[in-house]
Amino acid sequence: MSKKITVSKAIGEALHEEMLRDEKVFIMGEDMAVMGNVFAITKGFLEEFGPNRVIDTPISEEGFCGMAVGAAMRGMRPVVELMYNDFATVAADPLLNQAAKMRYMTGGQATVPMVLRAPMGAGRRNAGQHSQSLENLFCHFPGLKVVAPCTAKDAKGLLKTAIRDDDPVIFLEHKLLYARKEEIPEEEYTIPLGLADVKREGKDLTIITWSREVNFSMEAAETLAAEGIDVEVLDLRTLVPLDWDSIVKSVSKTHNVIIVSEEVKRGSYAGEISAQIAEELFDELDAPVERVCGLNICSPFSPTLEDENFPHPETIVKAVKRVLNK
Amino acid sequence: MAFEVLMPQLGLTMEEGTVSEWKKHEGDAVKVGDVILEITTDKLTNEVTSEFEGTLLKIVAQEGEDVPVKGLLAYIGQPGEAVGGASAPAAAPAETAPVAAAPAAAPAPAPAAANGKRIRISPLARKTAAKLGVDYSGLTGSGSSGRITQKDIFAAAEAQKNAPAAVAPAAAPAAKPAARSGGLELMEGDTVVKLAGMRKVVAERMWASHNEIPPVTQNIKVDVTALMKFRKMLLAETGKKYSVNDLILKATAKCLRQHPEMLVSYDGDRIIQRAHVNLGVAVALDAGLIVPVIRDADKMGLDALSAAAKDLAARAKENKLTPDEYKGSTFTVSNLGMFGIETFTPIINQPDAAILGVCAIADELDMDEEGKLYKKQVMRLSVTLDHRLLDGAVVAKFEMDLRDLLQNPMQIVL
Repeated sequence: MSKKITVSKAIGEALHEEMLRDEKVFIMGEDMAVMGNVFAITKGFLEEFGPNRVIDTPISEEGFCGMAVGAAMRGMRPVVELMYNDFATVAADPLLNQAAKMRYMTGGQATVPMVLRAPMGAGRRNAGQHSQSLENLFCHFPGLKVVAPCTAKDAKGLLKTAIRDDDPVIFLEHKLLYARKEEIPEEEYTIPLGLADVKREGKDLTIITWSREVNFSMEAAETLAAEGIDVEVLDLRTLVPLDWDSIVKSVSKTHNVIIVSEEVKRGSYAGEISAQIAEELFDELDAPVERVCGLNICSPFSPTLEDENFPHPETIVKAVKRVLNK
Repeated sequence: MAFEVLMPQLGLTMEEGTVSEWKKHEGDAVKVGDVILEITTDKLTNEVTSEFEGTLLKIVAQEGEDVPVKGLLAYIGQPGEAVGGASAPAAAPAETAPVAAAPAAAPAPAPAAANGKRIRISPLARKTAAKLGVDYSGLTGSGSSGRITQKDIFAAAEAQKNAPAAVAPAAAPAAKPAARSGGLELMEGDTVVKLAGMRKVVAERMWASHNEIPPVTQNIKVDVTALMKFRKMLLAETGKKYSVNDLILKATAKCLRQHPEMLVSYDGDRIIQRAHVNLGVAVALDAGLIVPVIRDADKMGLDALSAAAKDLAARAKENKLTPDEYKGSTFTVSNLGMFGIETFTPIINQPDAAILGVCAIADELDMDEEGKLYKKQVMRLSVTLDHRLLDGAVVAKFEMDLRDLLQNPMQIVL
């Protein structure tokens, strides 16, 4: 059985089910409780679970992220929301220096089973400080797991797994995916971390991507198919741990790769994957790996400029043709 | 730093060349485009021009020396400049190259094109080339910026397999005859020449064909009285003198088009059906034998075919064929008629499946229905077939049709 719900509702369902399943799970963030989150994900939670498990915080990212780390170390399972992933820089120390390192530095005596939900991405005219895609930042720090789903089904299944995981998980949700209505299973399910999904099989080129760019890549793939170019679309879903096996399998088949993400190109996680492919799969490559990312600029507010600043299906089509010299 | 002059690669199958003559000498000034030496390969004589400007500092490969493709021939630089040593690491292996002059299975050709530029090739294509034994230094890439991709290597491997001059370097190492040097006792007055150049290629290819193919040769007698009259008639009416060979080529091409089963190649566990009637025409040379190819001969008129055959034969004798002109045959004709040969057993020019031997024309007596003797002119055709691919009866039908065509010569040009 399946049902059709929005991505935001799927995320809400994951939170709801996990809170019912495990009383140690609690949620916390700005406008989470009374308002029920800016994207209405947690509407009604305060009434159902009460103020001890659904906590509104002041605008104090460093404070409540630090609080979550402490609670997690004491056995709770906090699911914290940053209103925008951009605010991670405010909470850099608790997230990157504490949560990420605690298990290692205590020799395993302490773990930090927290989830940080962080809406990200461009396209909502939110300007430079609220439009970034900071995958590269989170993926850099050993000790953090990083998830960036695209579909409603993946968002729900992966979030449930993230909440049950004993290590800190950064859960990146693209703002412009929230409203998409998609089929998900009626019954309860989880999806393991670290498994990519081949969204479309193809033989000419592999598009490695995640989050909203998966949808754009699928559109590009359709356009290309009409022109006789058969691309494979690999939705990573989890960025750390990376499903390297799936990448090897796909690249060894198609021998051509582009990596599509909304990040600033310079220093992006797309670049990291590209480098890994160049290092380990050099002999499989028939053309240089191309990164298809945002420009090396501050995300513009102007709609015209902003739309130029992240890959669209047309951008992806062009890149594929460039790599294949078609 | 002094520039290296390297043995160029002329065509896919070239493995080594012989320095035949230095046109410039040590100390001579050299400009870009100047002819600096002449080399001979298994098939051709070619001039090597300079890509550099300076002074010919040192000749490394002496006249008569065999040098593998990309092997060092000389240095060009500024007077007084040191050559070789640390600045030219490639020099060391190349200088000893004449000894190790058979890079038969060289899996990784040097990363420089004949023009000395770095070759753009994808890692995958390079790996594939090594695996298939394809020399990619002469290829044009289809990838971005002219990069050679895996697709190009596959295409080259296919072309290499089909090249008549190809004893495919690594793909078919088994096809090389075992070296048997030094086994024979010399007798008084004997002289010894190194098996090299064209002779070597002919030796290898004939050996390979004869050892690999179960051959059957079938002779058929053709009454060419009408054909000879027809030839005279053409001369009288058009003023053009066509050779018997021209008419036979034209008839053969036409007949092959009606017998595509003859146009096949044996390729391991598969049989390739050839789409084109590409006629190889064996040309005897002082140094050996070469088989230039007339492409799509079935689509040519008698005039064009005659002109093509003449041109290829003439240029073959002058060593002026380009490598592509002796590749890609799908059927070969070898004519020994002018030498009075009555029948023979031609050896198949691989990867063709058959070869047509054309024999001499001679007068014969025959008897008509009333018992009256009359003179006619006859010629035998000797077809050798690869019995792995073709059977006697199938080829016999082709031979009968060819005979009938030659006996009704107007049909040849209609």
